[in-house]
Amino acid sequence: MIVVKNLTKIYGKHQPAAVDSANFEVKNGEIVGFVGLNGAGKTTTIRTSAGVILPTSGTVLVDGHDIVQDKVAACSALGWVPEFPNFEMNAKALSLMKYLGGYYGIGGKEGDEKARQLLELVGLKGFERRKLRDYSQGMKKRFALAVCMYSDPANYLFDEILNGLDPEGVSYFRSLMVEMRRQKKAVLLSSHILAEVESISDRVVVIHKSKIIKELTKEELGHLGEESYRITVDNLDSKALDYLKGVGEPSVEGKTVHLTKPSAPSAEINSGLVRMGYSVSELTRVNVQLEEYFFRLIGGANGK
Amino acid sequence: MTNTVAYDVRRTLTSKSLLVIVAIVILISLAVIPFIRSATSPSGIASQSAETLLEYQDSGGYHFFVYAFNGYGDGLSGAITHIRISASNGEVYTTNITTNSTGFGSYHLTLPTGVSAKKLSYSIRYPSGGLPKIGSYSFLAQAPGEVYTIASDFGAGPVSPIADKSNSTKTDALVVYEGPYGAEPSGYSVHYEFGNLSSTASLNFSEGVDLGPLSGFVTSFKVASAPNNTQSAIFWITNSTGGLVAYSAYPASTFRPVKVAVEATSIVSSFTSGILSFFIPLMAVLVSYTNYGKDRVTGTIESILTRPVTRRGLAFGRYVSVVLGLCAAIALTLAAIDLTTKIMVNSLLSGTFIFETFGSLAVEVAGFVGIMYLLAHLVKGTGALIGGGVMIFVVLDFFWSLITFAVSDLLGYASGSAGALRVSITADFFNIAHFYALVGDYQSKSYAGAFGGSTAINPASYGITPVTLVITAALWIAIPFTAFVYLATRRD
Repeated sequence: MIVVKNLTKIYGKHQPAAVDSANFEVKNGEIVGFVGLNGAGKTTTIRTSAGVILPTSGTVLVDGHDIVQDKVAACSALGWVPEFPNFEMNAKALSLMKYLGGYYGIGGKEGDEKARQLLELVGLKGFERRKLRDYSQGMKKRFALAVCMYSDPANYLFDEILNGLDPEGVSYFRSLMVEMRRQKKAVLLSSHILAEVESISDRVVVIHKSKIIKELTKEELGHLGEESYRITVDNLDSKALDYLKGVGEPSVEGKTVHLTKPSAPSAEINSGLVRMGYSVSELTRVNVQLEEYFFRLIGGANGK
Repeated sequence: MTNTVAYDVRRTLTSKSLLVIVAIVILISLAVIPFIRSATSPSGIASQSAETLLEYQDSGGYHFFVYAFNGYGDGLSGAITHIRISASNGEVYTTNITTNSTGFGSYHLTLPTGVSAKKLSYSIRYPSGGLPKIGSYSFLAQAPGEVYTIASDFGAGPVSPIADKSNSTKTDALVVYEGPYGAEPSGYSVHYEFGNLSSTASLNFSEGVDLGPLSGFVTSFKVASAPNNTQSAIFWITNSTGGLVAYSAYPASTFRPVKVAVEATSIVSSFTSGILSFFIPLMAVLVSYTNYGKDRVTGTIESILTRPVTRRGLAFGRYVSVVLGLCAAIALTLAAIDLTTKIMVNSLLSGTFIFETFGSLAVEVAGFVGIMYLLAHLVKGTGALIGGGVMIFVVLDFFWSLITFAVSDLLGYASGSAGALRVSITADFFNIAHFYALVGDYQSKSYAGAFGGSTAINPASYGITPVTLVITAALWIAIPFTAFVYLATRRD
């Protein structure tokens, strides 16, 4: 289980916070999607959680171990695969695996066998003696995954791991995460591919401008894809909203109302508003997916 | 962690920069040793300290004049001559004459009326240390103002052999003399002759080679090498009327370049100070860059940081493994040089030399690694890191002498003066690239100048003792390392 508590990271004295008081958790047996625009703070949050950079304040607990104060225990229970794995590129895969195994207390003949097993497990059998600079981006990610698996951690941080992968690679990591969930491991998946996040995640945490602005529960994710209406009313007021509350769940953004869970057809809603004297300039039926929801959400956040 | 340290040691030992530099040092050794083997070695005079003690009497008492000098005839400050004079009334008079910054010292003794000095015993202690030189002199009846040479390290008389400054294998002559009543000598000329004389009794003082006039209390003369078929070398001083006033006699071999047996340590020490002290710190800079600095600046170190290891543990492991790897490279280089000298001159390096060379170079390596690791946490780019590291190396290794010259000048010390020497030696304590030289100063009891030549020194009087060397080494290792660990554990 990964718990992020009041996590703040500021890179320089005169810089704005890269992550500002972030709070969320990833429970065992759960895949949590982590979405946000470029520069929103996703990678900083993950790198801090991985122990690679130090938090300015707040904590990250991995299975109850503080990533700063109890780093050895926390990192033993954690696997991190970054978007661009950055290893010693002149090293051969097997040599580097064995070296990194030393940090997990595995060495000698056992280390050699374990390194070969893990490389085979992630599909790198036959490439053990190849230098990492000759690995493709997908192979480097598999290598990074293999290294994490030395301690068979119960928690994983996947930062944009689906980026740059071929369909086979995407499928591999998707299956891997599903299997990890089945094994009751905690997985935090950051990705720009929102459809992928939506399809695999149990929950989604949205970060925007350094702050966590929304945490979509399993139930809320379940509602995505259901029919809803985008209604633009020129003279929108509380009376119109009261009417809309009677036919669904409205959320307001300027003159536009997003009506989810509608209980009446669009034509009936339109005529109802017109009868009450409102000017409806648009009434569109939409299927809200995570991507649209996300943009609606950060658009709202922008307006705040 | 043992595996990781072993891996990093192996990574250090197999890094290209290290292999190239070790190969260069070994190849230079192979190329240079045969030349040094056939070279002529200095006679040994160059590393010696000496003193001339003169005396004259007048109505006011006894006047003593000393000049202490190094092997090249340059004045030595701080030489102490202890004089003990027994007088005819049974009293004993003692004093210490300490030479000033130009090597001169003097003393005046007044005895009660009717009392005369009978015997003088002396002991001379030089700044370079060692056992004091002792001797005695019985006072003879002498005319007022007449100058006598009481003590001279190389023999009786005012002429001493010194090493030629431009060729230390050649021997010149230094004359220390004063005119009547201690006046600056005027009208005196110096002559010499190589021959087969067993004494000066049959020497014709009107002949010989004229070296020229004395130009002051201290005058040096270039002397030709003594022919192989001669046994003695006689020098004498004549006054303005041609009368003999003093002479000195030496075996002719004193003024003949001598080829001494060459042994491994002298061969290697004659070039290692230049080659090793240049290449080993450079190797430390380059290897530190490739094995930690680049990883840190490019972010490769992050693939380690996310492993079950503390930041302090990672910093310590990387530091120790690289220093161990570099020390292994130094040991390998010394072993290769030792093997080369064994093959070429059938002589092995002395244990003391190996210990001091390895130890001082290991300290330099540890210091440079610490500085580079620290720098890796202060700069953001690989260019800045390698550029900064090489710049530090260049300043400390090449331009340090210019800095110390400038400081000496600011303090008003002339080049080559005792004050400038003190500034140079003191500055070496603040330069990790000169730690090896500092240990060499202690071991050889001489200070090697930036542009060749050396000056005999008493290391202790310049603060070079085993204790200060150990403290300096500890500080050079501890300060950069501690600062590096602080940044590695407290900052991203």
